[in-house]
Amino acid sequence: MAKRTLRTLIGASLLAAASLVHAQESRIVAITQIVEHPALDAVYQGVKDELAEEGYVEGKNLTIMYESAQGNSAIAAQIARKFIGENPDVIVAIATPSAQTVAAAAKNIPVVFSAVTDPVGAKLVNSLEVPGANITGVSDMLPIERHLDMLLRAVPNAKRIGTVYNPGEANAVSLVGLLENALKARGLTLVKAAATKTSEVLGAARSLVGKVDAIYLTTDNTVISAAEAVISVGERADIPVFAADTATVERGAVAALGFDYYSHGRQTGKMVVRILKGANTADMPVETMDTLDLFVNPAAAERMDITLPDEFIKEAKEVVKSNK
Amino acid sequence: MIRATDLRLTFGKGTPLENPALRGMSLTMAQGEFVTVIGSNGAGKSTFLNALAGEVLVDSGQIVVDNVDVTKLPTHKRAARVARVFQDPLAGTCEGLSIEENLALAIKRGQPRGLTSAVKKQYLGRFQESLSSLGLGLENRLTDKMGLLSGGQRQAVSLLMASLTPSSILLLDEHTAALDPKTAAFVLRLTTQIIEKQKLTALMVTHSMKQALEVGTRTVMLHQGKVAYDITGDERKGLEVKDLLALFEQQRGLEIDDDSLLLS
Amino acid sequence: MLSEIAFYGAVETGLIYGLVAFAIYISFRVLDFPDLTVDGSFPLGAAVAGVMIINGWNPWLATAGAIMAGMAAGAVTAILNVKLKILNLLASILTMLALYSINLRIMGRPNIALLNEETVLSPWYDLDLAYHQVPVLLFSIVAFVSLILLWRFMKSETGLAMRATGANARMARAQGIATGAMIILGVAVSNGLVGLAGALFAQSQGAADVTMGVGVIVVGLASLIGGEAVITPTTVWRALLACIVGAIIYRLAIAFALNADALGLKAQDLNLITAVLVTLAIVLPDARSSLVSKLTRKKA
Repeated sequence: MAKRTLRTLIGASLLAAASLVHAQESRIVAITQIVEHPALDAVYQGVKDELAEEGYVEGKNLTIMYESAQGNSAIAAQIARKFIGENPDVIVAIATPSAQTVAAAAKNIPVVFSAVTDPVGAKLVNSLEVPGANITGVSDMLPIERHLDMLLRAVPNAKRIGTVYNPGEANAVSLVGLLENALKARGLTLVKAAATKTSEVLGAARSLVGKVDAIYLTTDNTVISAAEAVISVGERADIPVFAADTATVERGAVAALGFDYYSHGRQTGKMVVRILKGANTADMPVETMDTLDLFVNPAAAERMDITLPDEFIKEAKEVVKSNK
Repeated sequence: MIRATDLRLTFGKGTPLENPALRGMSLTMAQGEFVTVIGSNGAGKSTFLNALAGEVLVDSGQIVVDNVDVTKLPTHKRAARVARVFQDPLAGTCEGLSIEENLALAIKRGQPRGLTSAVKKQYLGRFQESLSSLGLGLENRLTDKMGLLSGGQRQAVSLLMASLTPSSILLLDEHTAALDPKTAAFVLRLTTQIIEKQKLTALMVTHSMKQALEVGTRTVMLHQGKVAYDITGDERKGLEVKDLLALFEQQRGLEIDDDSLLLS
Repeated sequence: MLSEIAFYGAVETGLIYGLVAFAIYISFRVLDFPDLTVDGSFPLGAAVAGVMIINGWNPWLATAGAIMAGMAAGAVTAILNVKLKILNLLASILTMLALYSINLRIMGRPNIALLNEETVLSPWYDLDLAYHQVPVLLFSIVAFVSLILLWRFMKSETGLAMRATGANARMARAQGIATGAMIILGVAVSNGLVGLAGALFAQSQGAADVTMGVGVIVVGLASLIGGEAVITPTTVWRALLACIVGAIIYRLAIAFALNADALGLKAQDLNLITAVLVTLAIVLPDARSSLVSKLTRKKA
């Protein structure tokens, strides 16, 4: 008698638990992106994939809302308000302008930013260690020193380093500032070339010819969109082009010690999952990309007329085969 | 008192289209004179008027209006003294503004404008009085847009506008030429009435020799950028159109003679 | 359907862009002066206000600074046209181009974050209102005050002179109006309004960004034309009202488009939607009046 009651009890509670899981509310994750662009699109994909892997299935227990602002601040503002009005569980904001406009209006909804280079400078958080409010996220700040170390190992005699950047992009401007200081501290010089839109990147790259020993590209959105232009100049003028993100190596840069934006997206997705499971944003420090992989493209190096030291190539996580 | 002295003006100097419009144009008008100006095409009538108004600046010469040298002043700086009615009835009024707004613009002609309301209540009485003299019923349509009026009505209003505030000279630039005969007669009658009533000094350019003799106190014929004939008083009273025509032919004859002299 | 927050957000942005529509009304409609300076003076206003605020200035003074900067930019465009005889459209493009670099210089960097700074909105949050309602309240007051001031100005002697300048410059000069000065004044006031809009936008969005100006002229025109389709501008008052109404309608249309997942519309379709809206707004009034005359002819 008691055994049957126990079995019934267990059975009933199992059923109840099962129905609870079924009746579990669908979570809502709203993702706003400032502009469509390979790196930022990869972040979006990474977030989605991470959520899926953690058991959040779109259509079953997860609704994803996504909008791109087409580079327009006013539309980014309206997207932010639309999302807030839907009362999602988490808002993911990809890139600084989208993050700022969400931050200005979302006081009670957890916000996770991604692909923001300087969250403290953008006033999104009080400090990287203790964000302090409803906003936290993953920063794509570059470890400039480690990048320079890598570059100088590949091209030890380089004295003048060139870079192309968009003075209208906040993240690029802060990175170039850091780059300049880092180079100065090593007794090297930085030659800058400005391009306010993708169509200007080729001309800017050309202006560096004869003035630099190597070119280093930051994670500037404008320049990354037109990386091939810089690479073609490097090939013609025999100037090695180094990148800060690994995808650009596949497009023809010599090497990069970096992360790719898809991994950046996955790391962002991990933070989103922690919040969905109940973590508090105020206590979640801003994360950076610590795992860096060395990608090298020896064929590209050859086209740019430099020989990479063998140990350098051996260290690479991935040796990219020629893509031409 | 208006005095134009030896005005010279050449358009397009140095280009193949060089055109010496005024070649020593001189004219003195006393207060209260009503002068009609005729001449063949290219004689310089419109240019002379534009020079007096300030729309073109002369190359040399002097223009004095009531003892003030206005030779170098642009149109808007002369507007206090110089009133004008254009040939094109659409050019003298703003079609997108209402009748009262057009009149309000004219009543401040030449005066500084501030931030007080443009169409002041105290003006409305004057506007209505002025418009009712036309007998067109416009005094009841003050808020209608000017664009609703016909060409003749607009020209009549232009005339009223030009006489709302005192001027040293009223310039009439073939102002009935674009109107049908009946309306032209109406506007001409209105013109003489206003000029007489307000004792204005006026200069009227016209293509019609009949008009030139019928109105005014003095007729000036221009030819090749200067005054060819200047007829006033008794000499003028007896003139008929055919006489003027003869004078015209004589001028043209001289011209033809000149050419033949050159060619032979 | 539209959430309350999305609705208020659309109205908030609509009120700010209503100021831009006022500016376009002055330049395009009153003065017949196509003025593209606004793409540069909007972020100029944001930049000046942003820099002043982070340096501790009172936010209303910072906003006033933004208005004056906008007026200066407009004056430059007008002077290029009036004194140097450069075509108005071209002159405005030149100023707009120059402003891109000037704005970067003023800010020192492409983005100044204003979150947590003292803005014109800050004291209003203490009121007993929902967070998303506060900007709508303040900006409604700003828009209304601007509307009244502009209306009284256009009715004044100087305002009428400005309208005459745009309607018939030759006649205006014959009436003693210094048309050159009127153009400079008008384009300056117009861009002052845009500077104000930029300053308010930055303070409500948490940042002044140098790219904020892209497309402002298009939105302003769409708002103006859309508003005119709804409220025929037979008087100055109606024309000004149409500016605000058009701007809000435009932003509501965008908010609806963002919500219309059923239609499959996404934010990238917004440019197409804007083009369709503006085309309809231009075509419909004519279609409406010819339809009316067709019907009345039939009756007769």
